[in-house]
Amino acid sequence: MDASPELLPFWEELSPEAQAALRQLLKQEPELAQTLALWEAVQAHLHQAFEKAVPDRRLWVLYALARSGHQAALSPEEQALLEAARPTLEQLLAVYPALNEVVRDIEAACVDFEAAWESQLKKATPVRDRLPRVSRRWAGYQWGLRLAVGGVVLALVGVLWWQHRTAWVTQSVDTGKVQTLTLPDGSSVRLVGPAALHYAERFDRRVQLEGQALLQVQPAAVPFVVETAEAQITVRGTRFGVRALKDTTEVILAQGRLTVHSRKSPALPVELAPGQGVRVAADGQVSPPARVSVPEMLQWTGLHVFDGATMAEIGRYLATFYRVPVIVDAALADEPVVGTFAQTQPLEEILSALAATLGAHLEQQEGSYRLVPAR
Amino acid sequence: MPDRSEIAPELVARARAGELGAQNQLLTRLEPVMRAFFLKRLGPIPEIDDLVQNTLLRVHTGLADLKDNGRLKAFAMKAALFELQDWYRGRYHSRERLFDPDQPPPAWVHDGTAEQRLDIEQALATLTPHARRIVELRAYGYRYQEIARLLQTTEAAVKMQVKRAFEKMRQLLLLHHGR
Repeated sequence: MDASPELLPFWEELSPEAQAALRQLLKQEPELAQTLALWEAVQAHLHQAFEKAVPDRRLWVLYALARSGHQAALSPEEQALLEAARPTLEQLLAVYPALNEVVRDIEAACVDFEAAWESQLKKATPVRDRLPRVSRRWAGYQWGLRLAVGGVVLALVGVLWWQHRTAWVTQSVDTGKVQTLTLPDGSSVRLVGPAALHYAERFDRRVQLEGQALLQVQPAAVPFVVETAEAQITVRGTRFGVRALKDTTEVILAQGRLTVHSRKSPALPVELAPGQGVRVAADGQVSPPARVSVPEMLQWTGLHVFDGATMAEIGRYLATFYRVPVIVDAALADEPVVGTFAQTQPLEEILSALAATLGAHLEQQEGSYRLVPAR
Repeated sequence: MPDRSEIAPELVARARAGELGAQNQLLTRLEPVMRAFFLKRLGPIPEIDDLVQNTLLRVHTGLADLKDNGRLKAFAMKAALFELQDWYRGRYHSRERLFDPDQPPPAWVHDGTAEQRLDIEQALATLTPHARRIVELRAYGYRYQEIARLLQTTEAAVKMQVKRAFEKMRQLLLLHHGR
């Protein structure tokens, strides 16, 4: 396949064959490789400039809403945030003209949302309107009856609700112990002692955590909420670790997506992507999400947690953990691996399992391990 | 902005009070709105389900902060717009690249003070205002097709600008190396 240098800026849109041809070209022409690296460096520089000046992109939304006459859509807290950020935003708009297009695009998105709202919510006739009319007199009796019955039912529900809300289950483990629990919705929690988990007997996918736990949450329509002294973590279905330590809560996301907010500032949730971690301090400060090594950050679970890390990364991690050289053949280096192993498992057993998963072969030589493609 | 929602404020109030049935009903009513919105903005991409789910999650998480039950529409709109912005940001990070932008720049690229090294600002200065706008939007997380929509031009025209900009940077490097 022909490789045209003109296609280099469109690298990600190319077919694997075209990418391979360009890789070959870059090897032959280092000056082209340097141009591409400069091109990427320029974009990274701009991206970092945007992120550094406005780490929270919601500010652009607030700015666009206010500018397009939707000021009333902002809460008083959001208006205060916007006013504090306004000088920075306006300075950026002057330095980077393209950000004006971004603001205009958000304004256009508001129009699209309103159209979606109109088309999706106005087309359905409420069920109430489709019911046959009854005489006003009979309707009066009906409402009287409903109110009387409703009062009894509400009182009953209230009593039951109170009983359920007040009936709590507590599971706790002592220092140095580990216990895995299955919750009523099928989610699992690995409590690493000292730790305690509290939830309502009538399980509503809300738990309170003291100490450390690795959670594997079953997907469902109702979000799953974990509360600690400092933070609230909301997820639908995912795997993540929480360490509620003294005056700080650390959240590491292995899989899926979740939001974390400080209990002191619930209006400012932070969203995590897989491989990111965040800390919430007792004073309400939430650190920006940072990329982390999930297996390293979740070592306290007593598990090796691999959720999409490449085989090369896993090899490096295992080599450091077991202090034994682990060499991964280049052909396997980029293979993503998902799996969990107990830290008590011997290294050879783990590597054999990984080799079987990848269809690879494990070789042991002179005190080291080597993972190579099966012949 | 008056809220003429077909979703009754009473339902919102019950959902805010933590009634599971009301929360489910509310999110079920909002789901097609979010889907229609993201389809309009991004087209039929595989990630639509994730975007809808995440936005509903934002709504659910933030319900307690909604001060006025009658203002659900503005509240839901912000959730969708916030999600869209985070989507653009995430897309910048997930782009496939030949060079990892998180690694230190090569020795001959520099964004600091050394005089002998090529300055990134110098590279940016070679671009025309139009090309610079495209590069900035790209760095924000937009795709070329979306940039064309924003700049009211065609994708082919945007890509032509990009090719020229890339070639200018190549010439700049050649000049820098004295070739």
